[in-house]
Amino acid sequence: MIKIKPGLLIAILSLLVASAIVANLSFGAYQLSLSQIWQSLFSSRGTDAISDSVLLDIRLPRIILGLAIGIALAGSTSLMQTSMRNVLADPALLGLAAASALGVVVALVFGYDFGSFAAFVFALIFTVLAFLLLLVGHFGGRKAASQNTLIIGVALGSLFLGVLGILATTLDNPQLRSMALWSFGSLSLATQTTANVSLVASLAGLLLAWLIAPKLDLLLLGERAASLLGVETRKIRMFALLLISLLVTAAVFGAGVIAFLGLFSVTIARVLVGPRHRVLLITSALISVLTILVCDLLARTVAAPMDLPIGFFTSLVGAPVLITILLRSKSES
Amino acid sequence: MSHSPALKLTNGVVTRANKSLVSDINIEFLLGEINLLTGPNGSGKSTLLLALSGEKFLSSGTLELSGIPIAQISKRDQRKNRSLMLQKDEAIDQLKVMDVLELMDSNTQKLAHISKFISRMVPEEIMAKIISELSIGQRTRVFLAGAAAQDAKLMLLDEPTAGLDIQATTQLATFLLEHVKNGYSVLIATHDEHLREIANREFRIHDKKLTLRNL
Repeated sequence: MIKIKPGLLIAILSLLVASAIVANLSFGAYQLSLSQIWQSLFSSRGTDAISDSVLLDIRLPRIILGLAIGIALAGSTSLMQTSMRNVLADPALLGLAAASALGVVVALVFGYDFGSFAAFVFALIFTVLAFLLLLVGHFGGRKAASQNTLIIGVALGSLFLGVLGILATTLDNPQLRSMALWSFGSLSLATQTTANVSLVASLAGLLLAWLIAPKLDLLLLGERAASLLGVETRKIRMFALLLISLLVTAAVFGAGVIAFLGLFSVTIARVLVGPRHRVLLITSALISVLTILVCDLLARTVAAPMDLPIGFFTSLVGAPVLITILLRSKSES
Repeated sequence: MSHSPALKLTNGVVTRANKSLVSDINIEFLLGEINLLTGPNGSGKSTLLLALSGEKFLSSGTLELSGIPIAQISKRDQRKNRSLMLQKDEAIDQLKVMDVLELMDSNTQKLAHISKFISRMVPEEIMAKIISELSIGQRTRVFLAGAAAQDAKLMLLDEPTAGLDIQATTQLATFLLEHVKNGYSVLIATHDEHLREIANREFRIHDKKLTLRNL
């Protein structure tokens, strides 16, 4: 076990996130100095039209979306892992993210705009339905087996992606192009609306998760112990299900399916601070936000002015870091 | 001492996986007593303990805590009425010892004998260890301390001496005697003959029936 006080760790991570925000505001195809950033953010518009536009219309929404996605992915993953009692659970792995994406595309087919509130509602409904299917698979069989749930989840995910692909071919070209970008995970479609809707939804989800965290902690003692210690386990699971759906939708609606980031940040956070939910939620959200911001900076700058999908970098950075930390914590304990 | 019983079960039938294990159960536990529950392996001792704690293993019968039917008591208040040891097979291996004790703790102003017992069972140096790193005996100690930390009127213990060394067993016996003297009640499912020395009554499961013997 790597030993660091949770409070100190959270402070360090917050500082890193703050620096990453500044770096993301400043660097890119068009460089901005700190004083330009300061002026555009805090003095009235019109001093410098180009830097205002780059900052307020492109970079700031993208950062806000990054914050929202990070919180949503980490929060939904830790809730999923606890309520399914499986440390491999991840919304992208279990088909929920695909369901959310399918919901958005169905909304497009019905003529709603990409990034509209209607698209958010469609995505939310599809996620809840997919989760219910998953639960029927989990608890409906003769014996609850989490292995079956994983397989059912993976199968559902591939089913949804198939339907999504078929639907996508019915869309007009410009929409199709943005969809293709989006469904592989990208922050490049961030507008002020998508970013704000995602942020509000993910903050609400995180706050509610924070409130039920003590009960989630009791679930770690096992179903029966939690029940004996006063938790209405069925109710809390249903509530967690709704929160997970809200958070997954918040993530997918804004940035498509970014696989692996939830699993990555929650696994690392658990190694660093343990499984208690309040500190786990905060730590994993910070790790996830930091990773997104760093990866998006790379995605925008390494081949500038080309904007690469962020998923490339979350995988390239995430996989080695995760494996290293897991191996180190194993060998030290 | 005369109180309404800490727990009372009338005409109870304990059933697990559609098989009735024990029937015609009429028992009540008064405060201030140590009760034993004995019987051969697989006779349903653990299931009866769970049924008494409110888990759904009663196919018929009326269960009352302090004179009130359990259906009318909120989960939160049930927690004050009875405590149960964690099962050895629960998947709690990621939690630290101090997490487990903190999660089970129901009363910050415990009586002195309870705090003393907890610190005897769980020495400071294992507080930061993860449950899966502990030996069976250490785990039993932590789960006993957890049951004590719940500070409920009726303490339900399942095989509390399994894996305990002689010193810890003696400490447990001392604690239980002091505990009932302070007005609590204890029911212990066990095969341990030594515990008979401190018990007031013994319930024995035999041929799917419960028989009572005063000790």
